[in-house]
Amino acid sequence: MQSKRWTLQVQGEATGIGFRPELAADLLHDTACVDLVEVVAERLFSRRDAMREALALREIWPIAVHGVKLSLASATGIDDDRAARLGRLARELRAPFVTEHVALTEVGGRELGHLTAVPFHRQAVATVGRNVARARRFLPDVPFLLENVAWTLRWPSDEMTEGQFHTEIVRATGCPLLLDVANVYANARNSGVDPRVLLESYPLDAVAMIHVAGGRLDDGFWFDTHAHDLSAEVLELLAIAIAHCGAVPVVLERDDDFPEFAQTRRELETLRSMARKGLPKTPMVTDMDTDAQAPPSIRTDETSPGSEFAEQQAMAEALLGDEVGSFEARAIRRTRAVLRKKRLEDARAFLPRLFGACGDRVEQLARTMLGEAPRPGRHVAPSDALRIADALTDEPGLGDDARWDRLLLRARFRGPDARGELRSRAAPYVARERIGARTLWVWKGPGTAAKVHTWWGGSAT
Amino acid sequence: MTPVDLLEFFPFDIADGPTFLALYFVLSVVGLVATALLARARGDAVELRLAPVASSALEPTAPSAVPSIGDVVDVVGYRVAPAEVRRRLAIGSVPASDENWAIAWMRGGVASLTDALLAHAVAEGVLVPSDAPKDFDVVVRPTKDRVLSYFHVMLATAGSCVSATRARQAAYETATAVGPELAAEARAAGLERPSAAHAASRRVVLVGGALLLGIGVLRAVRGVALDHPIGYLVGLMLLDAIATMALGMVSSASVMRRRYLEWVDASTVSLRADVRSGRRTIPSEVTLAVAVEGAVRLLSSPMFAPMADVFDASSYRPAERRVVTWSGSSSSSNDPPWGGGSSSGGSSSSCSSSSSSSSSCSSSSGGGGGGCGG
Repeated sequence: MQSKRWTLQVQGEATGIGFRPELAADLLHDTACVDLVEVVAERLFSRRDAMREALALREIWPIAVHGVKLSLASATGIDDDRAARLGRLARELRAPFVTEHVALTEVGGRELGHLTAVPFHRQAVATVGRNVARARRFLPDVPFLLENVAWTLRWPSDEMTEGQFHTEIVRATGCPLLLDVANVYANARNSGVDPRVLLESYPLDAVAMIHVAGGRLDDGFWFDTHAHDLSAEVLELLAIAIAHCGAVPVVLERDDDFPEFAQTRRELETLRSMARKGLPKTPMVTDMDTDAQAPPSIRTDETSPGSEFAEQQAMAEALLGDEVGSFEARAIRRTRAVLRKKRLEDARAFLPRLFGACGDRVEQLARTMLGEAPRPGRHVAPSDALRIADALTDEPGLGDDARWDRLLLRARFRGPDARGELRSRAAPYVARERIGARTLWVWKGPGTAAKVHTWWGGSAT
Repeated sequence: MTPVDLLEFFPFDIADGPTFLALYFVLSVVGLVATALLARARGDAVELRLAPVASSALEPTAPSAVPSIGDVVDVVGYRVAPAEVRRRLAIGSVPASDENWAIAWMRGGVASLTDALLAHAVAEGVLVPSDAPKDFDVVVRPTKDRVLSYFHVMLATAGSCVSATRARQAAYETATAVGPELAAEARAAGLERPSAAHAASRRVVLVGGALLLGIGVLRAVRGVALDHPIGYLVGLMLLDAIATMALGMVSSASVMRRRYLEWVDASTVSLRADVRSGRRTIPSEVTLAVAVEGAVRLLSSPMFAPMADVFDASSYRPAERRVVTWSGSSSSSNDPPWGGGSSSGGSSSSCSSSSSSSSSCSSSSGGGGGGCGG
């Protein structure tokens, strides 16, 4: 077993933003307003144009890679292929970090569709440690940071506090922490704890990067929406975090309801001035065993993966089915609502033409459609997107865009099968669709990642 | 020893008939394609070697490399101090608005620049669709941009109300006039293939062509020695020679230019989607979108439907070449319109369907056809 020493030193103020297409034009207009940008890996996996764009943007800013679907807490392990793609992406983008959440996004091959919190117990720590060790086999050459998530439900089996859990995670994995201050605030507020106390219970010495975002209170529960301005409370927590952590990169996350960019720029300036107050971070040295199957502090034979899998399955059933099981009914309802919203957002990425042309109208129609549709087990987003595009092909004013998006989806996926699921299309594909008075052709070569080419044929007669 | 004895091996010893001719034809086609590819690769290599400054733009800024285990990862360099002099037309430098013209020019020459000028004019409100179909009010604004300034003068000269065809003609003439300056700008930025690279490419073409011709010559010598007819072979060799000369004259595009245009294209994927969807209407961004990908995709957006008339290429054919001279009152007669800060400004008028046909059409000197006022 080969033990290697991992040293990560992060110092100096740096302010970044999560790169979103809606922000692109403004960021290009004012490149100096950020020092780095963060891209969501899964968005690049699913869209070749986005990948090309990210490769070009690396010539302007350093690009941190942010994963959202590795499901590091899955009792059945991680998807090696996804981890390998994450590693390749990090190398292609020359990323200074790869980050991922300590969360569940799938259980037994079924996509949950959102970053679902994990139970705070030793078994979960062991599972995360095992999965991180496996992921690191595909990410040997880049620092791997783990992010805390905001929870919408708590598990009956919790046996430690949130702070203790993340301390154990850092100890078990040897990975630095990406501290999402907004998530800390949301979790503290929703559990009735002083946010400052919760923050200080985290292993702040291990923090190598910070996320901040806006949220909102809805029905007595604070949601980390990434669609609102930064609150004073989150900024206050950030100041405390920086005082403890030193100067580490601070990244603003904004995913929806984008304000005028002047407002975003003001927020970035605020973050920058706060980050400047942080003392230079002392080098953080952690030992990690890159070839280990089990985390250093917790042995896997102390755990029972079977019971943990059963527990995760019960949670998935509660979220995707009708029964709530041993979970709090209100929390399950709340989480289901989040999943429904997220489901639409995910499908949206596969319908650029439809949402680009008439976003509000399409969103309204799509929400109704998805509300009634059963959730496929896998490839949920493209399955939903195809369902929406199919349904809108005869809709006045939307038909052309719907047919366009549907044609591109069919080039990349086959199906749906009897269970309503799509499969990635590995075989070459040629097809055409009438768009207005012309014919649009698509062609894709062999392989699931092959580029889809489009070209216009002559006028339809 | 006779030539026949010396050439008693494949493929020269193939029996008389069409077999060798067919083989030679295939060899010529494959050989010429391979020669073209090799020549391009050789030219690229020489160009990259001769352009150290430009190629350094392709190098990463910060951090310089992916850290490996055991490395101390020093990411202090997130804040990259802005260069004292911003490099124009360089990878990593987001194009300023006045670089859009050179981008359009490099991508598609006069046609592309014409589209970019029209897109800017429509987005900025210099060309405003009037009530009459296919007519535009001209609302010229002061500008410090030399290319725009020239275009505005051309438009103002055409009248206060112009047809789509006249507007396009003004843009075309502007593009033709400023093209050499934009080409020089591209050259200064290292985005034009140097003559040494062209020479290297041509040498490869010459060697490839000579090899092909040499095979033909040897077969012909053998044919003559055996008193066999060689007319068809000589014909094929002549075709080879012509193709080789043509290849030698073709200038491959600069590899630095290709890379730069690819970078601009990739870095503006989201920006262009925003422009197409109508979310972004800032003139410089609309112009950049058109400069990078042309006007066709932009026109698929309903937002830009009014622009369709001026972009309809089929409606315009370059008319009799008009000599563009500048004799404006505020500058010397030989100055170009952009010289001396003599941009015309503030003229504004609107097309009335009754008067426009006389005003703008009568002022037309280039005559692109089409008329004002329905």
